[in-house]
Amino acid sequence: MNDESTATPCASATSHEEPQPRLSRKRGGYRPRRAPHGRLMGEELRMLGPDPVTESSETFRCVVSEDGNWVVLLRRIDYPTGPRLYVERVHRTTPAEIITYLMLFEHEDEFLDWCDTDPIRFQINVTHQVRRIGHELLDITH
Amino acid sequence: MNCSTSRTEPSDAPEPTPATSLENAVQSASFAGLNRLIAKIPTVHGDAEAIDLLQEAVQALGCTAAVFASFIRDDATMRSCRYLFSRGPGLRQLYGTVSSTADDPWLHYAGQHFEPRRSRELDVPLDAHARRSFLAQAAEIGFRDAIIFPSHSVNGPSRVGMLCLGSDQADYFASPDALALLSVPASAMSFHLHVWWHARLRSDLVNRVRLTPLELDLARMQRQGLTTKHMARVLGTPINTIDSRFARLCRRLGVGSRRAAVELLHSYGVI
Repeated sequence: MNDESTATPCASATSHEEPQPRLSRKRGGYRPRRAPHGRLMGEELRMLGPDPVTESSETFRCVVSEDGNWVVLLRRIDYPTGPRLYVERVHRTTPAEIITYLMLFEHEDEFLDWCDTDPIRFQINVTHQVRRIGHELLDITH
Repeated sequence: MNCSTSRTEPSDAPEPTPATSLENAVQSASFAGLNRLIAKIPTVHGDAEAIDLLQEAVQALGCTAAVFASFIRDDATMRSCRYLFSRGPGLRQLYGTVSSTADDPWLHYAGQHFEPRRSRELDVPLDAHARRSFLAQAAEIGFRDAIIFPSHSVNGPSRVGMLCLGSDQADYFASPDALALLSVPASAMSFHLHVWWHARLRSDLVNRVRLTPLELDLARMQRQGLTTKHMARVLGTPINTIDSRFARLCRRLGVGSRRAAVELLHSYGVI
């Protein structure tokens, strides 16, 4: 995830650690036009980004592992009784299989317990950011 | 697909005391309200709202927890499964150990059968270690009794839904009479969640890929078996235009051929 000043709702987990080399003006103007075979099929066709009208980086964040096999979306949802954390964990277990878990956490402790028990804890970069962002989203007071 | 970040509480009334038995649960007022819950499914806007709805159903049925799974096989090279968990840590931890959909005995059963069945009655082969381990762990985390409600679609085993209700009581689903009463709304809920999820996927596909009416016409003609020359004649455009439009469509869908693109669109109910 990028620094706060430049944070985008959806960013690579290691983008700030390994800055991309600056491209020439011509090459920098190119945009990827073709996704790898199968990349945009099925689950990945879902809109993973925030709703530009109702959501911002204060209510929606996304963490992607370096290898791209893990994606965690975190969304704060305000209920009359207090904020809850909606988490969507997407795991590409094999090149041919994607497993997605959709969860709603009422309390931060419950969320942290999940972070400590789920296999995502072995993705060190991801789990640190997921914990921090989850805390930030639940901690925001409006 | 996004959901609103602010919403009302799923149920303002205090949470009902868990029923001591399924017989009590099916005679309760909350059980009678299940139809209202099922009727709300098509209007659910986001996953968080669906989780709330699932949670309400769990409470109405006096169960401990529930999970709804939607399995999708796009083609031979891509399959995916989404699990929607009711509140509570047990099931989330249990599924944390699942590294492949093939290791989920409940989903495995749902993929091959139509009728509801209790988890303890599943025939899991001795050499299916991961599935047997899953069932043993389910009992350990307090999921002592569970029942599976499969839901299928016209796409056969490529589109399978599964609702699993669980209880921390060992023989919660043992009564045949109560189970018969439970099966109607639970099967309906499984089916409608399955339908709802498919409608969402279809909508996401159309929005993400931004299909044009002309591309849909081309895909339909391709499915009917028309040649490129024939399509060009029908649409009054050069053959090269047809080819380039299909190439663009395949690129946006992330598939390698016209045939795969058409199969994908058909499997999602777009054409």
